[in-house]
Amino acid sequence: MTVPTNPGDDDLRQALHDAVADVRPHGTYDDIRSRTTEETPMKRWFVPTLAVAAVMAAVLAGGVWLLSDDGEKLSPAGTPTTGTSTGATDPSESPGGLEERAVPAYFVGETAHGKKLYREFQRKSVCAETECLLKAAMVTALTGRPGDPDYRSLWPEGTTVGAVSYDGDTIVVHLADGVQERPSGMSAADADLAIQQAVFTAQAAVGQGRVPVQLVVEGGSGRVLGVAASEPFAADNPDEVLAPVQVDSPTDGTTVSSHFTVTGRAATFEANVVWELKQGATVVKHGFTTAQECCTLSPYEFDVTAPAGTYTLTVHDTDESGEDRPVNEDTKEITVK
Amino acid sequence: MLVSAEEAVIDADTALEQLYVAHYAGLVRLGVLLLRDQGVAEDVVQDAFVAMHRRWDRVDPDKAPAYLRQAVVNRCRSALRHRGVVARHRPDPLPDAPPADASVLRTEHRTAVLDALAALPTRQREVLALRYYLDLSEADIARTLGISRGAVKSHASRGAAALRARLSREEDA
Repeated sequence: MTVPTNPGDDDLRQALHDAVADVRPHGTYDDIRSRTTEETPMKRWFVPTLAVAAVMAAVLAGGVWLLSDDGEKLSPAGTPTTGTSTGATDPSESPGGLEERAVPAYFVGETAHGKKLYREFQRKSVCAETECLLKAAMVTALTGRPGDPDYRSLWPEGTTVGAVSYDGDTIVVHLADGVQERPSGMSAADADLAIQQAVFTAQAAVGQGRVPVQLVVEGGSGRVLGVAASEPFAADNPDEVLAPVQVDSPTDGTTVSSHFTVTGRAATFEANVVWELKQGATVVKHGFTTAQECCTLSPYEFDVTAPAGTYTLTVHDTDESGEDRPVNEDTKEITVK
Repeated sequence: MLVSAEEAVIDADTALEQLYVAHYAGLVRLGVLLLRDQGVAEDVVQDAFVAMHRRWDRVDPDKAPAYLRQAVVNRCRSALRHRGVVARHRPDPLPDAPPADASVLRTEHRTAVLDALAALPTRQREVLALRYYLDLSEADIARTLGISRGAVKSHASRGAAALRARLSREEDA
């Protein structure tokens, strides 16, 4: 579809083209190249196969590290539980080949723009293979309990995750009979969002980007929650389906040391991210930071120093409309020791 | 897995080079229309390329040009805000912001067009630049700016009228 070309517009078209016709851009491809290669060593370090080693190394070093969806960035998850994991018995390795890993799961929460997906990491002992993390993530998201009481799963009670696989092209997740049709009381929009909850979780666990996700319900109706599922599902636009402000770490209910780092993702106006640390209605600490990029979900992090106590950490965006609209936020109950 | 990650890095570099050849100059010119400053426009466009490279594994290659375009428009808007209140309240020639490159503003008429654009509200300027310089469809403009097609229409008609009015005043003067 094109703009209806009004011949009378040619004057403006001509004027704008003329205005910049003799701009000779400086800067060469090498300028850009030199800036991307500076970042490459980091990127290479974070390639998927090394991620497991990185998680283990971090656990051994006494920190908890989280792996983001794209497998590109590992972020420190607060220094809180440090020390507890460096004992004589190292929980990162057990006789059964299990490792303690941060399992990503997407849940649903309310935002100023309605229900959206939030990512939460839960620490679980899982075996090292991709499928193990995938299965753990699907079980957590579809049948588990979110650590944050503001989140929930849209999947009906009794959902059971069966076999999972990833062949390099498509993620396949089998679900036990019983979720072919949309339960009464679930809206069509919620069914779509539930499917996105599964899609984003599966993609986060596999860490190979936005690969298609085939959901297969035993019993063979070709539907999941009433949605046609004969073809694999694609992820919806993350900027539409994911909550615009999310805290990855610390997670709800954790204990942190007096100096801790908050990490998360935000898609906010001019990348502005604002936070408060509150006790009841009293703001004990507050500040702001910026996410790496504006207007699309991108990482942010900031450091907080606070005396011992129990707090509510609120991270939110800002209302730029001047109309006193509600803001998007994520809150975490945390204890500073 | 390691191999595919290595390939992904190579792909990002190759893709970046092709996109650079195809789009760099055009995006800088778009930036000049939005910012009236070639130096800042170059910075903005390079930043957009670097950011795209960083998240290449999440960019649909077919949509990379649209991604770059959107990143440039957003970053130009941020750059303008950083330039601040002073400039906003002084819509006439910006004495504190001389053109970074004299060749940009070689003729008076060209200067006049850029000045007239600079005096418009940001949204109108963006819509006009995307419509008349990049020849984007109404739907693509709406998607790039994250606004409705109705809003594109109204910014386009108001912006065009305001730009014409300023340019004809210029000619009369």
